[in-house]
Amino acid sequence: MGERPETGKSIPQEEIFQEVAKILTDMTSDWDIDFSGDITPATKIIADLQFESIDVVQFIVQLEGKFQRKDLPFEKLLMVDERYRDDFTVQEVVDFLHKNL
Amino acid sequence: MRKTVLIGLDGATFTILDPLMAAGHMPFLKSYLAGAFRAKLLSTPNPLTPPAWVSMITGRSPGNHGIYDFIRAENRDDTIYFTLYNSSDIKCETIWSLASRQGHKVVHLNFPMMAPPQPLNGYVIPSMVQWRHLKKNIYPKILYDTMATIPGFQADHWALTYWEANEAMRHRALNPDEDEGKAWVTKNLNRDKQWFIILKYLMEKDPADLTAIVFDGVDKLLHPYWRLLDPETSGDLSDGENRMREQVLDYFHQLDSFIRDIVHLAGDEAHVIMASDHGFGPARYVFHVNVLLESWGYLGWREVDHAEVKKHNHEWSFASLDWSKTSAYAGTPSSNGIRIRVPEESYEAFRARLMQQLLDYRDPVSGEQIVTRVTPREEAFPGPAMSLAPDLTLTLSDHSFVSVINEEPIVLHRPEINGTHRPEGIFILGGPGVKSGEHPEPYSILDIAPTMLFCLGLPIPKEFEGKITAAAWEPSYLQAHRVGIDNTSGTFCTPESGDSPFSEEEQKAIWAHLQSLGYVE
Repeated sequence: MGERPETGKSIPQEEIFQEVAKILTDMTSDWDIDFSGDITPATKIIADLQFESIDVVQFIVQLEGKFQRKDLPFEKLLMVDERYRDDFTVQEVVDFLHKNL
Repeated sequence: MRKTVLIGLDGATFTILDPLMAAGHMPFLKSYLAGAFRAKLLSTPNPLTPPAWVSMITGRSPGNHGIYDFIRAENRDDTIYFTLYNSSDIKCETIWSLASRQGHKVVHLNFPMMAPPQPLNGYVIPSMVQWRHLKKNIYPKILYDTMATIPGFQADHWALTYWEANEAMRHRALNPDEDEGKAWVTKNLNRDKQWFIILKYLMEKDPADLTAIVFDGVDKLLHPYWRLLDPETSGDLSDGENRMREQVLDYFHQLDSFIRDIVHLAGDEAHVIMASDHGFGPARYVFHVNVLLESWGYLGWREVDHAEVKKHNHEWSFASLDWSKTSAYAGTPSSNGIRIRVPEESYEAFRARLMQQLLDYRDPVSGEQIVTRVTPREEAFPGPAMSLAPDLTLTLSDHSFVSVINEEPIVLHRPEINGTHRPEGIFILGGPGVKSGEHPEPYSILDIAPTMLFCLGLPIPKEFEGKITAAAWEPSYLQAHRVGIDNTSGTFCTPESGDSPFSEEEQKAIWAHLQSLGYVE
């Protein structure tokens, strides 16, 4: 779980969080949204960062590129009972990546 | 180095362009064609923008490059996960990469499936990227900052995503309000103008060896307004429709001026290719294929709250299905594809039965055969990426796209004809050594990439599936500019199975080269 391809060692959750936060900060830095302050594990992707569906798609593309993985089961993060979730937090993203990388 | 320009005209067809030229609406294109070579251009088996443009710029068919639709659907446990295709899904090398790593400067603007951009010697701005994601999707990044300084450039007139375009065209089809129609034409006039402003800037400030752009307003306007331009219907329009037609003609007037200016900027020594990814024609009905599949017991619908679905707006494009009751379904309209979910041991018999049922189906009102062809994936999309393709690809009698939503009747005859894709687009070639005339047979969209490489003076990779359009050239020119074949596997494809077409030494050399360019870590 959360293994680096070369060494077989897990990527620490804190390191994953830093990468995710960096991606989200980079994505939203010049958006006209009300959210201010730093990205935290409790930050909500939809409610706080005002992501639309297309933004979630772009976010996933960034994550796939960053972690060099095209096969991550993002439906397990984004869907419940075959329906798309209304929102999810940064911590849930980190937990998902830690489990599946 | 020999310069080449590719002007992509999404959805262009001679059915519309010839009458426009004859009536004086595209005077430059008319005069250019008098000295150029032209032919129809056969699209991919499903004539759709993403697979077609990617085939054009890779020289490979969808079964090799792996792009079948705007939307990528993956079987995940007992559900289907939908997302959008992007450039990392393309399993073959593009002509941009080929030319760039052989020392050519390349500019490609507004080509689908090019986000995120792959680094090259030149400039990239992909198609269908929302404005707030463009900064991360323009290459090099400095171009993003530079764009704001280009005289006349207005960013808010420009970026349009797949969802926005899809929704706008659905809205136009359902609500033919004249003011809204004018607004849509104006939007596309402005968008194409912004693309032209960027291209002109780059051609003047930092000319490239291979310059390419797609103007997609043709497609965006032919979908809702085919009837206003089709010679078979445009003579019988109301006053309001005639006013709307004049608006749409303004688009083609502007397009003609852009083509003129691009050709002049390229210079007399450049080769110019104009090509479309597919053609266009009338759509006469809406075929609710999933309702038909339900009637045959192959599909179950999921209860949905439409207000909830609208929050996730991409779900408008997908069928809302009960997977536990579904053995065959059409996932997206644009794929015209049916996916089968039965155990392997019953697959062949199930598929054969379904194919015959679809071909046997008749419109209950007109008695017309609706599905005229059903192509299994191994026939439509052979190649290492075949497993990603729909099991069956449908061709309808009016070549329209299926509807995947739960609405009756199964065949709804449209009160107003819309435009839909057709297999035959356009190919125009001009420049030194080119014959003038018309080729009687259509070329394949796979022929564009080898033709572009020939124009550039580069060898053709042996993996390319098309051929140079030899009939377009004077024999003396072909004699003086020999076609080279690259037998060293200059392109690569990422196979599904993990089996590589390359030897271990070839793989190491290719990956080392990609690392040196920064494509891989």
